[in-house]
Amino acid sequence: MAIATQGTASNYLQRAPSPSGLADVVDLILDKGLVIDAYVRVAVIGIELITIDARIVVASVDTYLRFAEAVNRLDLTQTEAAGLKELRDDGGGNKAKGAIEGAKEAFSGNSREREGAKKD
Amino acid sequence: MYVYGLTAAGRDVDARGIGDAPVSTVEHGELAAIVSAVGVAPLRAKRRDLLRHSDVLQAAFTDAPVVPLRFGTVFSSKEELVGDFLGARYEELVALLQRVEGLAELRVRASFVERALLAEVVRDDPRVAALRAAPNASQVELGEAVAHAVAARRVEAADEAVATLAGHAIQVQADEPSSEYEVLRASFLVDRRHVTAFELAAEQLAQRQRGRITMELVGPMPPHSFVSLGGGRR
Repeated sequence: MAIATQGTASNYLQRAPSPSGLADVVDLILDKGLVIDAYVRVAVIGIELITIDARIVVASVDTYLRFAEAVNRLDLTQTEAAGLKELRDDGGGNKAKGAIEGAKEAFSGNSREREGAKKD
Repeated sequence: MYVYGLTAAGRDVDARGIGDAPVSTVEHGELAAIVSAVGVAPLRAKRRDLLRHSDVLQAAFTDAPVVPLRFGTVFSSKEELVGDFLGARYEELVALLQRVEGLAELRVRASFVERALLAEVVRDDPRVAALRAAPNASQVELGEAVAHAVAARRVEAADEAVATLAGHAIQVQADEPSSEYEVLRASFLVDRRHVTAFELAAEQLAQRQRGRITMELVGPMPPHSFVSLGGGRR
């Protein structure tokens, strides 16, 4: 399902009329919704795996090291220039879309690595 | 028999469900369960099936109130569905359906743009700037300082977003962040007549934060995050 942007005044906000990405459906269809008594819910293979993968530990040494690496990598002169260019062009739409696609990929891929990170 | 959700009796839901099975309804009094035939359990939670579950509810939701069920609810027969669920919890279910009438869920996800946020942190946080410049600084210490600075900005940005949007909503339900740079992952229960105002507020917020925070809005959709039965398990 495509992300619809028509009918809105700007492209700063990514729109989808219904859940279309894996992250959305896991959030909403697997985690929310009315649950009746447990016995009517059949064994659904894969749910436990998916929901465990969806949780990320934010406060850990592993995270700290990733943050440190990220700020060390940062070239401030480049970032400021990019920021200014973005404001001047007034168009963050494509970039934002790229970020969301990237997030989807990150979500669906590489569960091993995440599991590893969680154990630390 | 797979159950997607509940709606008011007297409506058809024209959709294809899990495994491409045609969707129909099982009525009991004022209630209609949205169902389709399903093969033998266990059911696999495949992306395609999760999307189907969502699409079926979305199709029903265009012109009727819908109470969404969580993925994976199966009854062995129509009799069991009526006897154990629709009939057994009839009063509660009718009340729940009435409560969601005219309401929709809008879900907002907002995340920092990594580079823009980190540049801001290095610029505005003297401790981070000092640790980053020091040749022998502990990387764990530097990362922890960044994490704190990011967390403080997350709280601030999330509060601003919720304050801006909650005025157009009846109820808010925020989830725990699922990644380092996530600002907000929250659902808003909104009167369908106020959806446009909500969307506009979200758009203005996204515009104010452009380049720094990306925002995504999903909906209006059935109120997945706002349905529960008293005494039932969530």
